[in-house]
Amino acid sequence: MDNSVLADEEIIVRLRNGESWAMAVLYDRYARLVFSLALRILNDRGAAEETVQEVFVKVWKRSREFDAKRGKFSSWLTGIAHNHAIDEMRRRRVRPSASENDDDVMDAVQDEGPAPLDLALQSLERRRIVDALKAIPADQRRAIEMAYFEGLTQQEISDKLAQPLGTVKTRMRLGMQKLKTLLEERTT
Amino acid sequence: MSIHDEIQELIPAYVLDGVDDAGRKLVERHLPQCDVCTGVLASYRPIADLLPFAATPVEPPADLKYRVLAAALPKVQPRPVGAPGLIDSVFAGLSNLLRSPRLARSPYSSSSRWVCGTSLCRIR
Repeated sequence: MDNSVLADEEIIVRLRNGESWAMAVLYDRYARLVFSLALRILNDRGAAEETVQEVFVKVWKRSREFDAKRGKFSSWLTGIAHNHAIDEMRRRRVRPSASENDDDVMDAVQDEGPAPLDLALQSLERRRIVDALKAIPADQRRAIEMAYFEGLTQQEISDKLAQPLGTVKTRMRLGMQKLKTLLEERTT
Repeated sequence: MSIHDEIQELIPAYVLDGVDDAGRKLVERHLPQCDVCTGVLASYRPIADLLPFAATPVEPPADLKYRVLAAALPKVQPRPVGAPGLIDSVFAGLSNLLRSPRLARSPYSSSSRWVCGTSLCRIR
């Protein structure tokens, strides 16, 4: 049987049973996503690689904490990765990136090439969120990205943009409401 | 403004981890006792679940897989260079790890030789 076709939840069960191939399958499936997220947040390839390593070690150690009833494995995994990368960014105080126009990041981007099923599914997820983000006003998108990818609170965003706190709150709230509507429309 | 209104105003920023500590504590104290606000939170969760995919896809270096598996799995150890006659069955234990074309292509060079222990990759 080809283990790579098993659902994430089944693979986690195998991981809990001590079957190490399960870790390799999860790595193959999600390392690029975790690495890309960490690189976007940290803007440092070495730090992003360390994050990938730390995240997968956490997955191995905390696999019993994952509860499929509470959400998808990918959400649990990227939640761990996001928290770790944001904590690391705050610790290192590297310059924030969060820009797809950043030359350092763009230089490192490789062609996605012909994708197996996992990559194809992830490409679809990417298309959904990228299209939705493009569809909302730029100032709302910026507030959302600064919170998520730069780990800034609304007050910190307000300070950084020299905009009133109320304006930042409104932008973030309206942007999130629009994103929710757009994503729900595209699901139905 | 009711407490529910206040919480529901905070929730979009909360799911992005964009509220300060006071706001976060306020939300987390309220949610266990309010199904309505918990439902609102759940409606925003898919956005936070999808945002990681907005990061530009970048392929990690090929050798990172070895480092991750070595760190995560106690039995994965660097293969001693020139170790005498490692039996085929040990390499058979690697077959699943080597399914990935990326890993299969990865350097079995002198600096990156890894092999599972005698229990054929069972995690201890």
